[in-house]
Amino acid sequence: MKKLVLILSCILALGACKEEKQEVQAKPVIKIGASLPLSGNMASIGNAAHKALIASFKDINQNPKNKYYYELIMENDQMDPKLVNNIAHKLIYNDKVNVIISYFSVANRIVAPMAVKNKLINFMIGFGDDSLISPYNFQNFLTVEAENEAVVEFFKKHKVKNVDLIYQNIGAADEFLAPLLPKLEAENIGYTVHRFNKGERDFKILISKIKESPSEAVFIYAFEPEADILTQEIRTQNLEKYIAYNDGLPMTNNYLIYEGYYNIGSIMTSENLKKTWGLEGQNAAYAMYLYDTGKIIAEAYENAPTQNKIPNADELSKYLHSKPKYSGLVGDFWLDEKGQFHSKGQTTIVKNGQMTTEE
Amino acid sequence: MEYLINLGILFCIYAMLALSLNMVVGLSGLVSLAHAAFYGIGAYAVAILMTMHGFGFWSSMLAGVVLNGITAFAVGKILSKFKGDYYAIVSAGLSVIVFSVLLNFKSLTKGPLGIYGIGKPSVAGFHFSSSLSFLALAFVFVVLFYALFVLIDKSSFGRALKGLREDEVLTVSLGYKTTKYKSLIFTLSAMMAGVAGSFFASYIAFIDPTSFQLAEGIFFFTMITVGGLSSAFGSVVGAALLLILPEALRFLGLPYETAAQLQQLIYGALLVMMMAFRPQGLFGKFKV
Repeated sequence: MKKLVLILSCILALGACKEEKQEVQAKPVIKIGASLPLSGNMASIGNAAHKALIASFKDINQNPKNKYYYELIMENDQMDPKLVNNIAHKLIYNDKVNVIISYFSVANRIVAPMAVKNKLINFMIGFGDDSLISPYNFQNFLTVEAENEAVVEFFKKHKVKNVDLIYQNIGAADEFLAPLLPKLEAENIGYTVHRFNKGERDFKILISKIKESPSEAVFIYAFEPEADILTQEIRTQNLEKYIAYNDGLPMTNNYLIYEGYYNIGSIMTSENLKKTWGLEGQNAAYAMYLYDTGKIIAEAYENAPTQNKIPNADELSKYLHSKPKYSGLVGDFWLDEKGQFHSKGQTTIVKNGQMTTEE
Repeated sequence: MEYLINLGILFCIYAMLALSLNMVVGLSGLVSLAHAAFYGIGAYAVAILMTMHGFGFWSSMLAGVVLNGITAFAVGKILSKFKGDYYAIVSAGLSVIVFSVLLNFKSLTKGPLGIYGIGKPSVAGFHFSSSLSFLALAFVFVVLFYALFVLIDKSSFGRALKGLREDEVLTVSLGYKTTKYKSLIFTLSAMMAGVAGSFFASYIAFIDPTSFQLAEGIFFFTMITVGGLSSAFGSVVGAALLLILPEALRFLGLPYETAAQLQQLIYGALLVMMMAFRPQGLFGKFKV
């Protein structure tokens, strides 16, 4: 018992007494906090985001002309609401970050009101809705509308008249599916929705049912490992239809089973990240949005007019809204009055085990 | 300070859960894995009634507690026919059912999207919107739950539960209707978990089904096992340890490329060591 208490005390004391290892910076330091799922079900995309943010701020800090030094503090939220809440409190009140980056809707919904309360800029990567609008909250992610437009364009281009939609039962899928259905109806594209829960592993019956359906295409909203298992079943049953995915495809580490299949949605390929940082495939899922977010934050700090030592949230917000156009790894994009950045979607295809833009 | 207050509030919520679960597992020896389900029902009752139907916090919480009571009483009747591992498996089944309902009954629960914008409680015009006031309110409930645990532990009802835990056949032979006792303590514990769920929903202001999975029930079980079964103080200590430990690890200054994974490794290793050195928990009076 004494040993146990001793060990625990050591750990807790170590945590409490840890000296700040912060490098001495000649420039004022801007602290950027990020809440990311670095372990758990969504760890693959969380780790891609983690790498992208490191890459972005390393690139930014290499510029000797910068007025500020940017320090990243990243915490693992496992996409668990109570951990997001703890992390947001730690980042805001303990680490006293200047800007916070929240990743995906669970984190967005918890961090956004806290950002408003504390007058702090919050960059949300992931879907949100109008209830999160405020001068302090910004969303840098492909909008649901842009994603759906890309999907409908794909169907029109390939003259698809009927489609089977396979959706994993997760929040983001619902946010995406609801507005897609009226768009399909408007284009006279028939659809059948199939749903499955996270953790399901047997898709034999589902795929054999779809094989018999009159659809020309199958559109899948699923993440790994379910997307891989589902695709393996599609291969096994030799489903001869257009097979397309919404962002699930790039999260695999097994491109071979996706050969000839499409991904429609977010920008998932960047020669820059691939060459400079070695980020591609699974390690680059959504990474472009994170990388660009780092650049946007730094640009705002470096250029926003300020009456203070460093620009405050109001000054940053005003600066961001005053800029008509942005450019980054996702191409050209712009910011609307609600704080949503708008960029275009992308369709890619797997050829020779590599994801390439469709031609 | 605000960060510590936040941890204090979560500690109170965990302590309520640990105390309520320890009544079933510690006092009665019934290995229940259904606690996440009741926690979820309590949380969703508050979330649904407050955000969609304009109810206040207290009436929503009461509705959740009553719903938990009815559900637990009905399920408890079935569960009380089982013991040991079978009890654990059947109770885990309930947890899976409730999770599936929360995930798939979209018209009511909004499914995986979750519900947000859940309000805070108020009493006689005083709104518990500040973290400190919310902490004080949650702490009052922890004290009440603690007192209830101690009261039951020392009562004839508690002695009957402990008799049931030690030797059910002997207890029955002494004239105790053990199924009634099992059902009663299970129902009471579920109602208390509903209170904890209500506080959780109101405090975090956003809930989705992932917070109420079977894994969460196992986490609660770990809290009381680490703290000590059949001990009110152990429940509270277990809740504090399992909350503080992972948070303290965030301050270790691990290299950020691997910090998240290392934190989890250390956390897991500490739990393994703790169980190896002291399987009955820190203040346990009973071992499952």
